[in-house]
Amino acid sequence: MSVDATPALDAGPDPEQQTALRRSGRYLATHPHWVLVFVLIVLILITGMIEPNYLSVSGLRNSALFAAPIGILAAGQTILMLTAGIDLSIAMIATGAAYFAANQSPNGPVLAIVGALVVGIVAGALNGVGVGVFQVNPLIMTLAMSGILLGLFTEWAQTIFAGSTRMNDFIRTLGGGSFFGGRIPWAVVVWATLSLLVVYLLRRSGFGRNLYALGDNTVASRLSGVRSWQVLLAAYTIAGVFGAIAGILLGGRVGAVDLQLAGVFLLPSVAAAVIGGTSIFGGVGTYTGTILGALILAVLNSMLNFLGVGTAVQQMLYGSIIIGLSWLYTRIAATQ
Amino acid sequence: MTEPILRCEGVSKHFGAVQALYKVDFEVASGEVMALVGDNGAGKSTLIKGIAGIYPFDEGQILFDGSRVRIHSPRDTAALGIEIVYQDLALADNLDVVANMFLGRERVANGVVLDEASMESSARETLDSLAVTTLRSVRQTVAGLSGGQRQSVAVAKAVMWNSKVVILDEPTAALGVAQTRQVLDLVRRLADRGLAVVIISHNLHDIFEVADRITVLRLGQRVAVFRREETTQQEVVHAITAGTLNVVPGMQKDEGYA
Repeated sequence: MSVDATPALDAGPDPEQQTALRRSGRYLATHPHWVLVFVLIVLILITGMIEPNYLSVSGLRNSALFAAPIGILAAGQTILMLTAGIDLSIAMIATGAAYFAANQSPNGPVLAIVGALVVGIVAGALNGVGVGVFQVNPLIMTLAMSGILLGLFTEWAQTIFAGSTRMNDFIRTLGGGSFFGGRIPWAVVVWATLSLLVVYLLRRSGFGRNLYALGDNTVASRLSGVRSWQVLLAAYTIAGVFGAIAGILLGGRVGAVDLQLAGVFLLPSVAAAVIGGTSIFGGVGTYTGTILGALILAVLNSMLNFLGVGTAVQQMLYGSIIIGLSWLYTRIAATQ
Repeated sequence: MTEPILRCEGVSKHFGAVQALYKVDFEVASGEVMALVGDNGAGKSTLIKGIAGIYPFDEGQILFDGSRVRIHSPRDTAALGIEIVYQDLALADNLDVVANMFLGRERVANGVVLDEASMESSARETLDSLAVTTLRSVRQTVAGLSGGQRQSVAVAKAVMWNSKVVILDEPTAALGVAQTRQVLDLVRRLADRGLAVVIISHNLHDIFEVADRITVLRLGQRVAVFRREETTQQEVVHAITAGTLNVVPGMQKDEGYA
């Protein structure tokens, strides 16, 4: 380090490098989506180099199929993270919804799907009442809910749900099937439809506006007349419904249900939102970013599978991504 | 002075053993700037929060436009046409000026979709009518505004709703000289438009510049009401620090035991 060359600057190991880092950080902060698109394309190409067959309709289709449930779960997380909340029970809700769908499968797809959605609505609304009305910390509320649901479903798996492990054919097609010559998975169509709805809700509705306001300044929002408990109740219920839809798709893709069905998707659902630039502290984020986050995770998953890396290491990686990016975004926010 | 639009009669509030307000009368009339002064802990904020519906009063009554009203939540206050501009301004930094002005009362077209165009034009109209000209764009986020601009936005937000009473909590506390000037001019314009304005401040200089009357609180009681042109800063300072109390703290309890 030459002190003489840079007399104006008194700190920092290498000022030039530091400003370059800061400039790229600022670019990432103002144009996050382009960075994510770039990362996604690079990951796809790298995966293609590892396994050339990946760059085909079926290879990319598999990634999209994997991304759909993550993206739908992450939609719930994004909505809640905007309010500075989170849903740690969303994977358990998904599993429970899948159980209900399987249980009702002999009675036809309509009852199966409605049954699953009811699970999501009830569990989500309970979370919403806890957080919105009784002001329980979201982490505590949803962690406890997750535990309660796990106990409940473990009990019911032996009794009410005994034998209800097989999904209705319609749901199997919805979760794992494709159309247009096997190119486009139905699950992706479901995800795309929900995506349009969520993007619209966040950008154009009063509800979306209130989510951002609540996450940024709860007190100001309340004083301005935002009915915070109603907004939170709605947000957690929507997250529960998204959990249920993801559960239906996952159950349909796997074809059978067990208690571990959706558990591994909890961490990726948070990771997708964090990668997409949604702040855990609330008030900042878009669903477009989360969609890109989910796609990145799906490609990463394919890559790791080709490399023969197991689920355990993948979970470690997701955890590390969350920690690393949270740190990075905090740094960026601090320099602004 | 005309009939007051807002009048509190004998309002009291205690937090546990602490008597924050004791049988306080307070009033403000349309077209008038009423200053509310007092030392720290005199009960200014408690009085405002009672009117705001954040901490409802234990006893006493609130008269609005001559009739008794009950206020239990901030929404009740807003419904009456009373708007409060809080010291920390109660703005969401991540939203733009228009979004903040309509926060909690968003206008929607066909049920769900935000009617941005109509909200933007209303916001701009209100800001123009208050001669707030320093904003570069009503679409910039509040995070990028100066203290004076934020104050202007908060005030514009308060008057946009055809409010009849606007209460400003320390509006000039964090501002520089020029920005203070802007805000005080704004306060005067509000009163000239026929609104009743209550301004809380520690700065007597600001108050003597803008207020018509001055209510002094001391230790939770009202000790004096002055007309600005009939009083001096010394007299007000004396009331703030040594105004005669109707009930000496401690006495009340002793009487109860006797």
